[in-house]
Amino acid sequence: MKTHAQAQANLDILYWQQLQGGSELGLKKLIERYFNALQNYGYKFVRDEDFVKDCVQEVFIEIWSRRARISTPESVRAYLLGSVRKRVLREGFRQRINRDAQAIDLENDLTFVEFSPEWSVIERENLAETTQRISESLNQLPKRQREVIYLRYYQNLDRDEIAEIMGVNPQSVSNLLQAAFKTFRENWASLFLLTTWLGEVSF
Amino acid sequence: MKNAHYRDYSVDDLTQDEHFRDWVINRDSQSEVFWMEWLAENADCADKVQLAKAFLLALEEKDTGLSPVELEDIFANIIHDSRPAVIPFWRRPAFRIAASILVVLGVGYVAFTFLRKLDTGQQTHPVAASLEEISPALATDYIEISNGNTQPRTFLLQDSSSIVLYPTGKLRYPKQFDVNKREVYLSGRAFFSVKRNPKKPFWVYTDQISTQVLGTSFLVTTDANQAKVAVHSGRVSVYMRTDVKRKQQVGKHESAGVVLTPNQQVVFSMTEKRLVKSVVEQPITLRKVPVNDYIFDEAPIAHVFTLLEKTYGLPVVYDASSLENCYLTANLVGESLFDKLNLICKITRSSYELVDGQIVIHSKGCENK
Repeated sequence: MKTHAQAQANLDILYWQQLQGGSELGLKKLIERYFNALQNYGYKFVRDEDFVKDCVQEVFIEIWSRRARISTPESVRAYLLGSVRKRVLREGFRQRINRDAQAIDLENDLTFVEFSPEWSVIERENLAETTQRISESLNQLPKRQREVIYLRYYQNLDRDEIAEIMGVNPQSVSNLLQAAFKTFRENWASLFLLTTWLGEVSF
Repeated sequence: MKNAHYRDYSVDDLTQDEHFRDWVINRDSQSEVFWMEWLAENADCADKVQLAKAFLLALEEKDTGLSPVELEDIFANIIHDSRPAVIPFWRRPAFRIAASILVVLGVGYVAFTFLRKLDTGQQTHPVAASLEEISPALATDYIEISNGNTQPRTFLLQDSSSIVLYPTGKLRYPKQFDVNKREVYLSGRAFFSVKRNPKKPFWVYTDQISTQVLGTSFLVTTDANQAKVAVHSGRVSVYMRTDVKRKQQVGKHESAGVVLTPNQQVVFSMTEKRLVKSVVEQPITLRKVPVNDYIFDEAPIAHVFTLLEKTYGLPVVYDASSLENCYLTANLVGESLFDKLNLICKITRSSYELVDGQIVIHSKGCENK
């Protein structure tokens, strides 16, 4: 597992370096690999698919037009996710200024929204109930814990990458994750089995 | 890959397994076939697989994935569109309207303050001091220039200071400057660029105020109701004429003057007979700051204020401890000082006021946990 992830990360670096050298192929590969995941992440902050899509595109446009001057990040994926996070928050905030000059509260208005899974996808798989229960439990977590869980599991990132994206130190990431699992265990008496499985988190 | 090691996997392990993720997240059909077969063979593991899958789907909540064809389009866009036409938000109509409202409010506030002062001030009109008292040179052997045109005119004095005299303005200066000071008398409006000479301070007298400088540039405006000095560069001392007179009589060296630095101004209102220091209407940048310096990314607010101080030369006063947790992510390139302040204050939930030529920030802090 770890070796697989490492191989992927190395491949990312390779594409990135190609991109820096002006190779469109490098750019293309990174778009194929990450565009969807980046969109999904952006959508967690602003519930507007077109808006998020534009933001992700702009992140790539910026990278492409600055390719000669940018350095190679330690983790390409974390760098991309971090860039999308910043842009979505910033642009979302600006849009909000335009729409509503009052009550601007960046951190509280535009942060990690609650999960509301699309039932159409899930229903036919007979997973609806479990999924709903999980999302309800997740939504009881504070925003930042929710975001850590998302980055850890959905985006499959390690602690340092999450720290970089969220702009906090790695220890805070561990703390947030631990706190999230503590709440989980309290909320999930009914899903006891899951908590034991998930309980073996090593971070 | 089809081996039994998945039987030992926890939910946590499954969510991190690339093959499992290919099935659930990437909707890969080959992986789907594999997992369906695997589940058929390992029915007892169904719960944990379902749970891991539900967990990832709950996090995903919506498949925002684009098809390879759509991604191809996006790739082409990005290549062709490396100069995106994004309208900066301060050029967008809504922001402009908001800015106009602020300007109107600002002007209204200033007008209101002055009107209030007019109401409360009930002292008599100051007597225009005669020039002889101040400087005999200006009363006897002088040259007077005036500007009857509609355009500003530039004059050069004997000490190579230059003066832009605005229409209807009048400037009087001696044929020969005194040995230890340069004195001129102004009515109307003029912009002075004074040649530096510490041995011969430059004095601009008007009916109500006197301005002393060593070498700087500044704008003096007088009319029937008030006199104003706004500083462009350097340092300027402004005194009320009455104080200068008293000082000369008493021979004291200290006087109730006001020291101005760039982007500050002082207004003398006839009714109140007091010098009121403030910030000029449109502060200019005093030094070239690299454009990117005004693109902030989670920057501590103290850093932002330091940069503002450096750029505009105006002190920014704030309570460091209450703003400790404030960070700013914003692009303020090209904004005026007041637009910058308005935005910063919105983002950090604070407000500012201009007190005595300084920017004072009031904040309740940025705790957001």
